[in-house]
Formats: sequence, structure tokens, C-alpha cells
Amino acid sequence: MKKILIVDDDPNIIDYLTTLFEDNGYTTIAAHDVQEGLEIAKKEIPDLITLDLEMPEEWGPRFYRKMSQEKSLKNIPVIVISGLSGGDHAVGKAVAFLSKPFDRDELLKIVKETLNV
Amino acid sequence: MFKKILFATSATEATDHAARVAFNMAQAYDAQLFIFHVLGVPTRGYSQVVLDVKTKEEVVLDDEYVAWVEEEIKTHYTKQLETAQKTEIKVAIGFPHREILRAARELKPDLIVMGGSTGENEDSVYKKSLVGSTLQRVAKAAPCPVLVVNRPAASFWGGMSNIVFGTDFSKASDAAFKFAIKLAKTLACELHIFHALDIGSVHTGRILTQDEIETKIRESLRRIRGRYLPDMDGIGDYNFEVWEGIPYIEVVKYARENHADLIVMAHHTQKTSGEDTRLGSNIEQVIVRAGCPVISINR
Amino acid sequence: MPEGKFCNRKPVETEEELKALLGDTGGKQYYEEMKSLDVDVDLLWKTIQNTLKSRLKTWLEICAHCGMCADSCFLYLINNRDPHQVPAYKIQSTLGEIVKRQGKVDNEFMHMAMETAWSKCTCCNRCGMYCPHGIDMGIMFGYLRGLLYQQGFVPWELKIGAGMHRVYRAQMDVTDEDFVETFEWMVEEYEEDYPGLEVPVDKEDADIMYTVNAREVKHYPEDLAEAAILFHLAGENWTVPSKGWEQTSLAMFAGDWAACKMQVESVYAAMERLRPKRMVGTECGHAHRATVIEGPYWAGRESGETPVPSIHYVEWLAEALREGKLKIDPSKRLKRAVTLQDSCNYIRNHGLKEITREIMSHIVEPGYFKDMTPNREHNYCCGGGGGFNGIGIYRPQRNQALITKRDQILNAGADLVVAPCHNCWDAIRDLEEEYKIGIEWSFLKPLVISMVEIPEHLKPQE
Repeated sequence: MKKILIVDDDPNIIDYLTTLFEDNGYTTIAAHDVQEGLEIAKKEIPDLITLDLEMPEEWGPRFYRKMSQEKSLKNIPVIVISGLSGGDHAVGKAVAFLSKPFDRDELLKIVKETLNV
Repeated sequence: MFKKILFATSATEATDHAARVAFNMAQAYDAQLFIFHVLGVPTRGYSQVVLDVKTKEEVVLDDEYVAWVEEEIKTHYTKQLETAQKTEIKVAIGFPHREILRAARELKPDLIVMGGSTGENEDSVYKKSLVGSTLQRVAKAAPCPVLVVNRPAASFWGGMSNIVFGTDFSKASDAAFKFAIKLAKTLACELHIFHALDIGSVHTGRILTQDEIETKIRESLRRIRGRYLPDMDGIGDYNFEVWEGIPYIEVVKYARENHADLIVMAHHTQKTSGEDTRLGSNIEQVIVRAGCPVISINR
Repeated sequence: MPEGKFCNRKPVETEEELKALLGDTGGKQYYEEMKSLDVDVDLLWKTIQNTLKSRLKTWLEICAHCGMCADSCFLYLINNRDPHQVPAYKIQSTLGEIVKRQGKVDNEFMHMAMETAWSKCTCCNRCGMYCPHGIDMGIMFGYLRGLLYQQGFVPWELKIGAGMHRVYRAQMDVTDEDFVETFEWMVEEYEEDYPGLEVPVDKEDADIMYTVNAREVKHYPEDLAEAAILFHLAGENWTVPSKGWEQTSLAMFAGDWAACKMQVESVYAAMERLRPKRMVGTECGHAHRATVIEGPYWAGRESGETPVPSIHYVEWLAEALREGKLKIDPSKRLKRAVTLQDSCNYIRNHGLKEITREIMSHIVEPGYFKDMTPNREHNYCCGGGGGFNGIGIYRPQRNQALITKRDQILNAGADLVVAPCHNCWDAIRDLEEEYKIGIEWSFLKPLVISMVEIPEHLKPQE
């Protein structure tokens, strides 16, 4: 089963996404900030990461930067999910950008396409 | 390093991305933030009529109107103002570039923050003069560095650990280098020094072979070392790079690949001729295309 | 009804009164009060008896009602040849009537006279050229405006404007400190591009004393920088006075002769204090007329001359180009269809028509200059002269008047208009805003700077 890492400071989002993904056959792990996200990612090596942009300490793009400097992490696909307007090019190499509130079916579709399952 | 920041805004969604950066910086550096807005352009000869930039209506200016505009600005930035400590709203009438420069002269900020050009709107109340846009004119004459956040994608910043300094080895670039060094040292950042080798045949007269290009690259790298390395005591993490191509594109790409938080470049004072003013200078194209804020230094 | 709080026969003389009047947005209360303002008939007739001299009296009497002035007046032409717009009719039905009735006119009449004087005449003096007797109705309207102002029947913006001159000796609330500070600021801004650029303030015995339009200080300070740069490149020994630097006169448009006198006297005082060889004014038409042509008479100078010889900016610029003090790089000359606005106040009224064309011959590539038709002293008013540009209640009439200029520009086939006059520049800007014909417009200074050669010793050292 494919593993998805959810990085978001909002516990409600984490809950929602966890339920959504697990209901659709994925396992999930979660992190509340960049630091935690990196630690978990290095340990678990997820197949996909959903990334929030605006977080209290470091922001999403910085997570992406650090992640892309790790051999084991740099090729993991990232989907940016953010409520900030104009964020669609904030992480240039993300496979997709969804603004909150997002369409769950669209998200699932993108995940399915990206993971081939 | 930044004690006073002057943020020139239209107080609309169009400058929200620049606002994000301005408020962020003010918080990060515990700076006093001046939210500066030019509410109207004088029109009708000597009369007191002013064209309001938002409503496009003619209004006659009085204290009440000014107060109302200030309230509107406060409302627009309600969320940010909740957490921001030292802010002040200032409203002015006049031509934007002139009033911004006037405010800069009076308030002596360490940095001016602006959004990109408002573009070629047909109904914009700012009539583009023969000389240039607000941004061009402020960047040229400002008494301090000007930070431009041109597009929303360039505003997801939240911190500074990676600076790209773009140079063309001119004297103007030397001044920009001094600023970049100071910034990198103060904030303990990684500093990238980047030079774009212009291979457009317009400049060289013909198409260069790859060997010639790579020889020039090596020469440029030596030049970077010679010119800048001596002043880099205290900078732990740095990188020198020279890529060939069309300068503004290469700078943007290099910054993107290296996850730059900021680009620092000299603002060139050479006047753009009537010919291709659309493109402007290299720095203008970098400003327009970069995925991070760009600081322009003119002195 | 006694005089109102805002609308009355007293000129605005203090800062408080100015602010109060400005606070009456759009002149709402002002015009409301004007509806019940009495005419001081005795004062009116007494003034006429004291000031209506033989020239104007003769003009009023000898009008042959031939109608030749009709076609000469652009307002007549653009308003469907309305007979009420015939210059002779306009002046006879107002000033002529007042004189006939020995000042016994009422409020309604004065409203009509005000509307005629300020929305049906821009004092362009074109009619005076076509009248077989040489009757200049523009001049007579100037006189009428004086009477109307004295009686309090003057447009709101002009009462304020005259007040500005009385309080600040400038057309806007710009103090002497503002002027000097702004000029110095501009020089600082451009110093790097032009090393050695400076603005000598109050230098005595210089060759040139430069005077400006207060609007430049407030809204277009680049103009000050450009003037400094051109003087600098031409190697001129120049200065600006810290007092008496304003050349314009809204008071003249308002008909406030006392304020006119005060205003020009401040400039003449500067001339006497600093003893320049000459005074050069900025690119403004009515400023030149006010300070150089009519001013000496307001100030009681019998010679009709200013204390030192005074010239319009175009005269200085043409001389600098002619003598080679400023050299143009031929490759940078204008290569686009450009036309020239002949401003009434210094072309028709001061004969500088060939001077401006001399300048054009330096800055425009041969074959690209498209003269308007008619031109030179026969040119039509820009549409905004005599204060027309700024009067809110007559905006529609002013916009109608702009059509004449619009069509002249279109017929000339130009997309750039050179307008060495603040009023004309404004009017053309407004006509583009209103009718969107796709033109650009410019003063001379920025154009010349874009193509002037910088002498070696003045270039920035790399």
C-alpha cells in the first residue's frame, strides 16, 4: 500500500486528509511543521507528500527546498494544498496545486494518477 | 538591518503578495512599517480635483475623504494588523512614483517594498509617461534598496537563508555586492554569486562555439573570484556560478534551481531607448519573472 | 441679501479663509450663496467710470456688427455656430450692457456674465486679429472679469486661485521653503547622472534667473530637474530666487488685479535683489503673459518692461541650440509624426512663432514634423486657456472646446504633440483622456534631454 505524508499545521486538515486517504486505500503519516515533516519523511520515505504553504515557523517552500537536497527524498512527488491565493507557483516542481477548500475527488484523481494506483 | 520599511501599496488584492512579504519582514526584523498609499492623481489643471485610483471617480479632497481612505486601508489589512506591532498608515495625493520618493526622502526607510507594475490597464488612472512606469522610476531614484515582489509566486518566502547576487561586473554591481554581503553576513545566509554570460549574437557579433563559451565561463569565474572573494570574510557558505544564455532568463533559472529566497542586483541607470521599452533592462525582466523577491540597488 | 460666508465681494486673504473655502467641496455652498448675492451697483459704476478708458470705450462703440469675428472664434465654430457665441455679441451683451445701463444690473445678469466671461471666452485674442477695427474682445473679457471678480461673481476655483497668490505668492500652497527644498531634492536625485549638477539659490549677478510654475514643485518636480540639467549642460551661470520664484498668475484668470500686482511685484523684487542679466521663465504661456507682458503695467511700470529683460523658455532654448551651447545628437532626433501646439499667450500674443519652429528643426528628423492647420498666430486655443481647464462647473463646455484641438491634431496626422505650455499640456492630456485618439504629448525639456549630447567634461566618470 502506498504511503502518503501529510504536512499541515492545521489538525483539522490532517484529520480530514487522513480519513480521506485511508478510506481510499492509502496509509498515512502526518507532520505539523517543516522540521517534523523532514524527520518523518527521512524515516518513513513516503510515496507522496501533501504540503501546506503557510505554517507558523518555516513555510512549505522551505520544506521542499530541504527535501530536494536529500537523496532519498528529492524525487518524491509533492502536491501543494494551500488556502493562500496565488500560491500555485510557489513550489515550482510540485506535481499539482490545490487551493483550499479543495474538491476531494479532484485530489484523489491526482493522487491516483501520480501513484499509478 | 531593516529598522524602517516603506511599503508602497495599492491596498487592493493586486498588491497582496507584496503585502505578505512586507508584513513578514517587518515582523522578522522588528521593523517599523509604513503602509504608504497614493490615493489619487491630481487632474484638471490647478483645481483641487483628484482622480481616485480605486473608484476612478473625481473627488474633491478634504480631511474626511482622506480619513475614509485610511480606514479602508486598515480594513483591508485587518488580519495582518492584528499581529503587526509598529505600523503607520500614510496616504498621499500625487503621481505615485513622485510621492513614494517624497515619502522615502522624508521617512528615510532602510527598504522600500513594492509590488510589480500595475500593467497596461486601459482604464488605469496612471497614464504611463514617456519615461517609464512607477516601478522603473522609483527603482532608479530611490535613496535606499527597493524590494520588488512582482508576482504571487514570488511571495512565499517566510525567511531568508539563501541569497543570489547577480553581477555584470559593473561599478553599479559593486554597490549591489556591498549590500548583498552585508545582508548575507547579518542574516548568516548562503550567498550565491552568479554571472550570466550573454551569448546573444547581438552582443558578440556572431554565434560563439561551445569551446569559446566555456573559455569565457572560466574567465568569468576567475573574475568573480578576483573581484569579490577578498571581501567575503565571514561568509561561510557560498557558491560561484556562471551560465551562458540570455542574462535575465539565466538569473531567474539559477535562482529557481537553488531555491533562492532573494535576488540582489544593481539597477542600471542606462535609459531605455524608445525601441524596445517593453522589455526594459535585464533587472526589470528578472523582477517580472523571478520566483522570489528581487532587491534592486541603485547606489 | 447680504454677502455670503464664502461668496462675497472680499478676496480671500488668509490661510484660514483659503482652507475654509477649499473645504466647501466643489463650491457647493459658494454657488448656493451666489444665487442671492446682490450687485453693488454703485461700486460697479464707480469702478467703470474710473477704469474704463478710451480704448475699451471706443471698442465698445465702434463695433460695426459685421460678424467677421464669428468665424475666428473656435467656441463659435465648435458650438454649432450658435449666434450667442459670436464674440461681438458675447462682449456687447455683457460688458456693453453693463456700461449702457450704467451698472444697474441684477444677480441673474451677473450669472450670465460670469458664464460668458469664463466659459465662452478663453482670452485667446484670436478675434482681435480678424476684426477689421482690431477690436480685441479677449482683452475686453479680461477687463470684464475684473469687474465680476470685484463683485464676487467668479468661479469657485478661481477665487481660491487668486487667494493662493495672495497668501502664498504662488498658485498653490507651496511655500518658499517647499520650492527650494524640492529643487535641491531633484538635483540630488539626478546628481549621479550629471556630476556637478547644482541649483544655485539667490546667486547675485548671474546671467539667468529662472522662474517656474508652482505646479512643477508640487506635482512634476522632474521639470525642475530637467531645467537644471539643461542649464548645466549649456554651461549657464544661472540661479533661482528663494522668493519671487512663481511666474504664473491664476489671479490674472480670476480678474483680481490687486493680487496680480502683488504677485508680479514679488518676482520683480527678486530681479532687483539678484540683478541677473536676464530672467528666463519655464514652459508656460500665461505665466509669460502675466509676468513679462502685462505685469509691468499692473505694477505701474510706465516703460512696460520688467526690471531686467525677460524671455520665454523657448527663446532661451532656441538660442542655446542656435549658438551650440546645447548640441543635439542627430541620430536621436524624433522620427515620428510630431506636431506643435502654438500657445496663444506667447505665439499670437508675443510673436514667438518662428522661435518654436527653430527648436523643432533641431529636434525632429526632417520630414516628420506635421504642422497643425491653422497654425502660428492663427492657431486655435488648446481649449483650456484662460482658466477653462480648472473650472468644475464649466467642465462640459471645456470638453466641447477640446474637440477643436483634437481635430487639428488628427488632421495633422501626428501622434505626438509638443506643447511648451502647462495649460496646453493639460488640455491635450485631458483631450486624450476624454476622446482617446491615441496620442502622446510632451514639454520640450524631456525631449531635448533625451537627445542632447553631454559634453565630455560633464559625463559621469566610470
